[in-house]
Amino acid sequence: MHLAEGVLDGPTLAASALLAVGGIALGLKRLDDARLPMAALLGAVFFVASTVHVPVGVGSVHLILNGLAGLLLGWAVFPVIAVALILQAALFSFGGFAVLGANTLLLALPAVAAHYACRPLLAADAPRARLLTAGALAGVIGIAGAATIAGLMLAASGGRAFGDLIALLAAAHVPVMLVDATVGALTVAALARLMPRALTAGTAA
Amino acid sequence: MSCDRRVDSRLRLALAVTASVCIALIDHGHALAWLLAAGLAGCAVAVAAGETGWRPLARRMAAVNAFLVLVWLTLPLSLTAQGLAWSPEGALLAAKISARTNAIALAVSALLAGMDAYAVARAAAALGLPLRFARLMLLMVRYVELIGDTWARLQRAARARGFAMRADRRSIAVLAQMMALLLVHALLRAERVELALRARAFSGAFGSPHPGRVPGSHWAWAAGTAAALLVAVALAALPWTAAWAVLR
Repeated sequence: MHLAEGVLDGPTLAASALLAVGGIALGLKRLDDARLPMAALLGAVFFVASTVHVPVGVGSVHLILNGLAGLLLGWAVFPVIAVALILQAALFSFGGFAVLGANTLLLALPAVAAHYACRPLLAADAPRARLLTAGALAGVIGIAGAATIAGLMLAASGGRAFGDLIALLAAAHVPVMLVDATVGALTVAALARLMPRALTAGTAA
Repeated sequence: MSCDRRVDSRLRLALAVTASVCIALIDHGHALAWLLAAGLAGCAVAVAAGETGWRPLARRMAAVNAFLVLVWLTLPLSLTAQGLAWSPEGALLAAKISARTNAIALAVSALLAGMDAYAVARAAAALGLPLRFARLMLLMVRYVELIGDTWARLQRAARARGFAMRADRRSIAVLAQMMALLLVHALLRAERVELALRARAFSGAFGSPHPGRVPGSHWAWAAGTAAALLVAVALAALPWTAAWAVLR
């Protein structure tokens, strides 16, 4: 999910960039050098996942999995998402440099929220239903949160003129949320079975 | 906006970021038209120089404009009791947003043409990013390639077993299983990297890279490119363009 360049106004771009820089700084502070390869590898997985398209109806949606990334990475998801967005802006013009702070904030902030909301549900010996709930909830928080923040940014930039655009954007992300929640739930359950320590590896001290 | 491969990649990235921010803040129609023309000219130079081709550029611009479909569906059109209503103000706003989006994408495409992910990461690291962030970026670029290869292998293995992605429960379950396998692969690799670092007496902190100096001649090129951008800013502020806006 990206907001395109040229849509948001200057004050919204500046405010979201400031908040994103704060989140990135906090994420980097909690990410010591020894865990950089771990964060980079998980970041690479989510970067590759974002290229996977799932057929839905007559069209398709691509995975975002920001909630799952936040669940596994905690605050480190801020710099990881920022790096992914810089690369996407430079290589594919998805998003962009001026809107980098806004896109980082709208993807990473719900991811951190998903971490705090769902992390207590995770344990290697937790029942499957609880693991599925944690993964699904992370997907819902990740996408619903991103769509909400994007809507707030658009409202701050364009006021009522963007009302229909916000509604259409939210509606377009309902199938994305359903796919992300389902894939997230089943991925967490599979991880608990295949490699239980993976559920806590990304944020281990 | 030339795309000469000899020009330092740090300058190119810095200019792309500067151009993006400047264009994002411009609201004047003439200035945006000039920037669109300048961006197109820059891309033409990039194609002529063999840095990119028209087809990849067209695919890139099509992806950029996907979001604008939503903008054009909602800003000029509104549903009223009498049916669909056309709003000239909404159309103007949509046109300006479209011009900004495309001008930025063209400028970035022209300025960064021919730069791969490694060049972008090295350039960003050398532009004064915090060391840990720069290191994360360089590592991620490397690992995206590795994980991408692993993902391609998983996909080939799934296809060999007759799997095709469809909109059904089984496809989603297989996809999640493949995602979990990819994460396991990444975490096992991370553990191996950590062991390798320890084996090389890793002290817990990476050293600082030495990016070197930008050659003086390249600064002149950068100044020329920046001047082209300033024309647009000046165009938005010139008295005659303001007078024209009042007359209209």
